[in-house]
Amino acid sequence: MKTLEMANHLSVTLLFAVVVVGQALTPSTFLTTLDQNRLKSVFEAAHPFTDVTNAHYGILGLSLLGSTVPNAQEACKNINSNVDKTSIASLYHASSAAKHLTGCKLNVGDVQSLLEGAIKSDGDVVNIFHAVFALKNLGLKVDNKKTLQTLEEALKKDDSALSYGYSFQIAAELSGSKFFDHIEDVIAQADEVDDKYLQFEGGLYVTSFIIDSAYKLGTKLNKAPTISADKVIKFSNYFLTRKHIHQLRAAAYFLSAIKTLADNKFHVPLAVTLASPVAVSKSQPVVQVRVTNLMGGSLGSLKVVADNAKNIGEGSVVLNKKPFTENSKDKSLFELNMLDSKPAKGFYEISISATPSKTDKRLLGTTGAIVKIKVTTTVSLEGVEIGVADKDQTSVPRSTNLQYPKRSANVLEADFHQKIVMKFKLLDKTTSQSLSAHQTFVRFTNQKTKQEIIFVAESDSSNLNKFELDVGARGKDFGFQSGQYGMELIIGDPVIENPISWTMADVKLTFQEGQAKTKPSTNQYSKKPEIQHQFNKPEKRPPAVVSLAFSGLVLLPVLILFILWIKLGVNISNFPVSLSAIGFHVCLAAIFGLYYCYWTQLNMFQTLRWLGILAVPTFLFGNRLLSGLASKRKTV
Amino acid sequence: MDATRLAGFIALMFLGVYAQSGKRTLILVDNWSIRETHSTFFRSLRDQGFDLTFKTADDGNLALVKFGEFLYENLVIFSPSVEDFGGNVDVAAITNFIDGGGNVLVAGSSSLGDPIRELATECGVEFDEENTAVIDHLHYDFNDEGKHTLIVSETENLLDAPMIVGQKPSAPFLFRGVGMVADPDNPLVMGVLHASSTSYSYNPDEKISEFPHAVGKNTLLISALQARNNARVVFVGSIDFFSDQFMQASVQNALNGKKYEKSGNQDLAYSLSQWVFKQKGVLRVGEVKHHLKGEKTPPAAYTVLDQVEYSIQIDEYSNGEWKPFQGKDVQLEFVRIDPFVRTTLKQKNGLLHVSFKLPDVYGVYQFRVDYNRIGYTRLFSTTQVSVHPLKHTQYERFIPSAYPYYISCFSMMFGVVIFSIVFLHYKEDTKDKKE
Repeated sequence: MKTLEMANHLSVTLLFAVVVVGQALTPSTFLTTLDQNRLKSVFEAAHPFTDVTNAHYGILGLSLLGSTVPNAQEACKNINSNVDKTSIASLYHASSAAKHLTGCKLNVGDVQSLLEGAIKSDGDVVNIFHAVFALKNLGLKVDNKKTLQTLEEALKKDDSALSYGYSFQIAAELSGSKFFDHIEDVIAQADEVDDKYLQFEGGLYVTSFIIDSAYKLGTKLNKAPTISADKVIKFSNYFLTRKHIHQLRAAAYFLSAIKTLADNKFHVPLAVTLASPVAVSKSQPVVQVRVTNLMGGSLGSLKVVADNAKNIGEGSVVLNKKPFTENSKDKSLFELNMLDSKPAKGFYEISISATPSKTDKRLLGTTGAIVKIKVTTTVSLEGVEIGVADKDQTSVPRSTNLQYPKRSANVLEADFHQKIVMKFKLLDKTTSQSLSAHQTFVRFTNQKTKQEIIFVAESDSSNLNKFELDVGARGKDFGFQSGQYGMELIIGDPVIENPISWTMADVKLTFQEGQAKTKPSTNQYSKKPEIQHQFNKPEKRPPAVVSLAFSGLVLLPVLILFILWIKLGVNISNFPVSLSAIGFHVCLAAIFGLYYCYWTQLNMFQTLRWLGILAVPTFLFGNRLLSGLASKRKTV
Repeated sequence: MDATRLAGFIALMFLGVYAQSGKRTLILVDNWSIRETHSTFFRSLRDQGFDLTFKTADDGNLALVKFGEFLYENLVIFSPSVEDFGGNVDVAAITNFIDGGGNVLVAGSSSLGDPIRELATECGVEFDEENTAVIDHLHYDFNDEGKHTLIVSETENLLDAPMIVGQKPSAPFLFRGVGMVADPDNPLVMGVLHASSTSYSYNPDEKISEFPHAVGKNTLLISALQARNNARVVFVGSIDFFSDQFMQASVQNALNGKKYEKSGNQDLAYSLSQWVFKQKGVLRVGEVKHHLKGEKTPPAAYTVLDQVEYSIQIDEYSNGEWKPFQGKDVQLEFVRIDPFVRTTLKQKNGLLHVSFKLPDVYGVYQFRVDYNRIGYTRLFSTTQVSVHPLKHTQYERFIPSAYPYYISCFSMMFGVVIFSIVFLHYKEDTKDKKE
């Protein structure tokens, strides 16, 4: 009994989960004109179609968008000149591109046998696909029965989801009803992401190609492809998350799939899109939703009802079964005045269902579409007081009242024994009730360095916001930089329509001296100051006159010597005209000359070498001269 | 002579991996759909010639190193929510990769996994907690979903470094993601894009009960780091920043209504990728020459007060080739423990050149060029030379004040020569006396 009950419970919760999941599934966006234009530019970027593959996808995309191909003749010429007549893929792409260009004929000669040869059971399915479509595009004959048989065999070996996608396309072209049964199996291979999206491994191209092919086959056989409604919606959701696609191939097939889902005989998921801003306020009380197919096309006359609107977080329901009114100008636009039901500020989920006035079984996702909005409000600042109080005094500080958005006329001054006290209250303008905001910051900006310090003003239970700045204790945050600061109050919240950024006062803060960091702020990336080397200055010298005078005095003895000698009348007629005499005196003079050179340029070793050379003749000549003189004296 | 000259040269070049070969790039993704949703960015990388390898971040065969060599020069981590990297990759492996000169581009989001957070901490960047977002109630985009987390970041919040961020973009940037702060003690971290003064980083669904991790301009949206080995790392708090959607979206500030047709995201993402993967802002040192004025080869040693000419070849990597660097603020220092001379080098035939007089203090010196500018790799080149004092013969020989000494010496020598002649050969005029 108990187990049964539990099982019951479980199934109920499971059912509930399914319902909940099912509810949020309806696509909340569609391919807008903006998106289509962007896709168009992606396709046009493939111009001038010098590569047949790009030409195929670019031209396919453009024709799907219903726009003309720029320079169609040139494109046709490019395709004709770039097609590789021996490659099946190239023939397929070129012929497909040419097919979408009006009046473009592809001249490839006789390729029938080449293409037919590619349809073989041991080949890849993609080759068969290329070959079949190249044959069809070129208006050549295809043996339907044989081809479908071969395809079936080829699929046994090559059984990826994408291969089945190719086979669906071929089957749709050649009316192969056998393949229809595979659709269910292939769809079952898709991976689910976040309970919201379905995709095939391989991404957007593979997914859109398979879905597109499945519907093509269904249309051909006039049987609805066996894809359950929630799966179609999940695929649609996946496609729409990829609408910013920029890859040519994926973009072309993405567009093809979206177009197929927007208009076919079996399943048309509808998209419920919020057309007005997320924020609903007094100035903009109307919620607009657009109910369209995935391409933004109208779905005929619809009855759109807001089943309920639930406050996210609190869970309270503010409206029930309220119909939207159709916009008089735009049939797919529906409006609802949200504020009629007086919702409190906050985030809401509106659950929407749409019923067509003529029953249309194709439509999917008609119930439980979710649109998220928020109800915002304007606030006013009341009771703003600002003052400076002594830190240790408990007496009520002298404070001034301020009126937003006026700036305080006088500059507040506070030093490190004092604190700045500021109070304010936020009032909801519509309900005149106090409220608290997510962001209530006080920002101080140093007016010289532009450095900013931000504090949070906390609110108490009665939503009175109080801010105290203990100047002494907070000095570190300010880097102990005394000076004038701008004090700004910043109020912001998702549901506040008019965020406030108000420079309320200028304050002059004085911090304890000497605590300021003396660390010089050098920028490691800047140029360093140049350094010029300071050369030693030569010492100051006495005036040259003194030394010249003394130089004269020093020269005097030589002069006196000569004068005396002249007076005495020296004669040196005893000078023997001999080699030794001349040699001796010349050598002696040379030695003194060497000493001079030693002083001005030679080093000691050079000098000693020269001296050694000179010493020998000097000695020999000197010896001879002196002995000669001595012997001469003896004889006299 | 050659040997001594060679010994005299100690040139150090800190150049990272040469940019030409730095094209192998590994891209780690959370799931394959990022290839589709961010295709514009990946295409721009491919167009720049990068060799891209995509792997999921939890791929079991993930490796950055094989046989002791790095498999890639660049790493893109576009998997913000990864809880554990696969294979041999972990935070230590990635920091190793950076230490080895590899470049890393990391994108975060509000659901940020621990490994990315740890990696950021290693690089001096601190991401805010999980589920937080940068919120700005005064600068949010018109298409915001209600929480004011799709913020419009004005171009003036961008770092003034054209090398990193490119020429100033004309449109603001769209950002939705997690905020970060730079470690104030890490001088290498640069805040590339900071939030506006009115922004803060917090969980948008919770009441503010503690001081937010990042407030005002301290909140970084994009930060960059150039390590001392010139490896570059860029952290972007928003993976959506690189998405096709944001790159093509129009930007409209919801409050003042200013509208731009296209966001600046694409240009900034391009510039950032160029910088972080060393396609620009890379310098290298070529030949360093120095010699006496009027000579061609350097002497074994210089003497104080010599006039010396110095030239250095610096190349910059741009648009795929090395070109002479055109910088006008390269400085040469002549250093003996402290710089004695610091002078700016001038352009001359593609070389940077200067002529200066050596100081009057002898010792072992270095010619040092240490060029560290924002956005460029650090360039450091030293060449050691010795400077001798004057030889005794090189001093001034005849000081005017000392003339009496010189003259007395020379007159003494002269006197000795003359006197020796007269003394030896003097003939006494005896006849006259007798007469």
